[in-house]
Amino acid sequence: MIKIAVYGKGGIGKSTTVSNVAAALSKQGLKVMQIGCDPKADSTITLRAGKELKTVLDLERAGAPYTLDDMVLEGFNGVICVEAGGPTPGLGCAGRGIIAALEKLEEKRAYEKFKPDVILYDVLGDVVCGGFSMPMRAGYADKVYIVTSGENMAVYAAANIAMAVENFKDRGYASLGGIILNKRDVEEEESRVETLAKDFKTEITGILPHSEYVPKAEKMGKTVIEAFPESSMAKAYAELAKALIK
Amino acid sequence: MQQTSSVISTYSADTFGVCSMLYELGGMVVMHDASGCNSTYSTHDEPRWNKIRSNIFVSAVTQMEALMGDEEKFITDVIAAAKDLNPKFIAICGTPIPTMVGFDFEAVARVIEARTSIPSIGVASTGMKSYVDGASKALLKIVKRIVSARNVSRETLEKSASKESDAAKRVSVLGVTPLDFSINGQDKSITSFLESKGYDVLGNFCMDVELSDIGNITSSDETLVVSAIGYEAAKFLKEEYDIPYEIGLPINGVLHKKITNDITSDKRIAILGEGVTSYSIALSIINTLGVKTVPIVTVDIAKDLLDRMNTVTETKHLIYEDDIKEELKNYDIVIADPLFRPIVGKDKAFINLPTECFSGRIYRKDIPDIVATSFIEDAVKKYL
Repeated sequence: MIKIAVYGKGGIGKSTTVSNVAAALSKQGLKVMQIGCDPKADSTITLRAGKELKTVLDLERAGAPYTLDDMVLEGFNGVICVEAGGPTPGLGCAGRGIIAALEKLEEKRAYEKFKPDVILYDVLGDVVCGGFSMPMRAGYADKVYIVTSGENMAVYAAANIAMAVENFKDRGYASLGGIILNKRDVEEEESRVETLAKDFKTEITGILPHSEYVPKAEKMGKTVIEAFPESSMAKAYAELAKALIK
Repeated sequence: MQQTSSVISTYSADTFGVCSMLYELGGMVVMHDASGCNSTYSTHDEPRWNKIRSNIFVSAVTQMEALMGDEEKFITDVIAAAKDLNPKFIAICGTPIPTMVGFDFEAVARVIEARTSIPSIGVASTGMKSYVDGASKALLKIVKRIVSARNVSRETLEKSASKESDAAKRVSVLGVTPLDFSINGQDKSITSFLESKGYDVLGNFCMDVELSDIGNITSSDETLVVSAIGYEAAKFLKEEYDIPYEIGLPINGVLHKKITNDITSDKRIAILGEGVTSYSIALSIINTLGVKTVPIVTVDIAKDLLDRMNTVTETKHLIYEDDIKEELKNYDIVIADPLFRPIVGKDKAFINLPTECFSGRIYRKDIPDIVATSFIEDAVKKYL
């Protein structure tokens, strides 16, 4: 079982990237589980064809008994979708919520039942507190990948995340697998991200070009892999997917 | 009120279960907490506090340390104390504050072990579960940690286990703490019972045993689970080392494994408390007196363990006061800790069976040795 956590600055395209990678891996014949670790609960939206998925924490909040099947939804090409969810906006503790949600998945034996070949944790923004480091803890992801563009704020956030991974190395947490460059076509983009990768002794695992197919597919509520399977962007996602599980 | 205990007591918390399980093993146990109520465990709540020396600490975490994720302070303090005390192992466990800030006990234990070279375990107790949960996790963790350190494979064990066919079978007793068995010698009665049946007892885990005894636990021919606390460790030893296990506590010198008697009385008895003890007492009463007896487990129990018990005799799991009170209307005789008495109807016969996990030391002198004596049978007979 390959377990990957994807981090990166808010709005950098993590969920889009992860969903397309999940779809591409499923096309390669692998059983994929995508777990959205964001209170907004929109990680898997383009895989679900408009179908509603109750978040783990919403099920908990309701207080009624629920089963593993209530927590998951089989999306595009059999991708198993899970959304951790979060507390009422402005209240509670989102980080602790992620911990509780992932513990519930384990408690309900989600990994044993579905036996996915690949688990993708799509994690909100930065590693702001203990809860958001949960997906990289022992027993969860083995590798962390960071999505960034060449923009200053994205590189800064990526460096912070890479630093957190580095700080956790004696805890037995996931190690840094690499950087995913999601291009915004800013100046010297590749060289800036190459420098970042070099600083953290890692490499750029994949480069995603800035493409009009991404917003078009999102508008259709689909991944690029589903909506435009023959496009150059779909090929870029498929290549990235292969590189991630190599 | 739903899901509350407004009249009856509550069970000892998981944090205490961790401390109690590890108390005699020569380690250093640190509760990560702001002190408060948990500090009383580190001073005098532990039943063995004035008889056996043990290193139990509270970290005294502050609000700012918790908020700022200053785990280094905790790690440094633990390491400093360990350097002074040179414990055989270090265990760190949790309470509500570290739980809420997502403190990773296993990871911090790995850091402490890397810096001290002392075997370390982290038990993510929350202070919000029962002692069964905490003690069960602590036993499983320490067994896994010590056994894995010895790096003993199943094949090696099979070779070393080759012995004379008439040699005594080695048994380890799992799930023994004063929270269930007090300090009145019941642990020794379990040993005496097993020895009288020809067993070589490797130890009662964990009373009157040392850390090195845990290292030898994989040489057991079988294990005996005498409380729900021992169940997860027994399953681990079965899965990893193919050591079979039996579930049950000997009562008055007999380990009842199934129902062997018909119900001949029209009375109904409820026995409240920890799962394996209640189940074993129920089987004993049914088999010796022919009275319908239902174990009502009033504290944590693994669902698969409960299911196993239900295949032998009807066993209920009720943890809320209102549910227990309602259920007890169906019985003539209730056997329970005296602190359950206020929710039992006055028309019912009540047999006191105090336990440290529910009423602490209040009734300690009245806690019977049900393993070696006919206390249960004698008490029930009075009401038949």
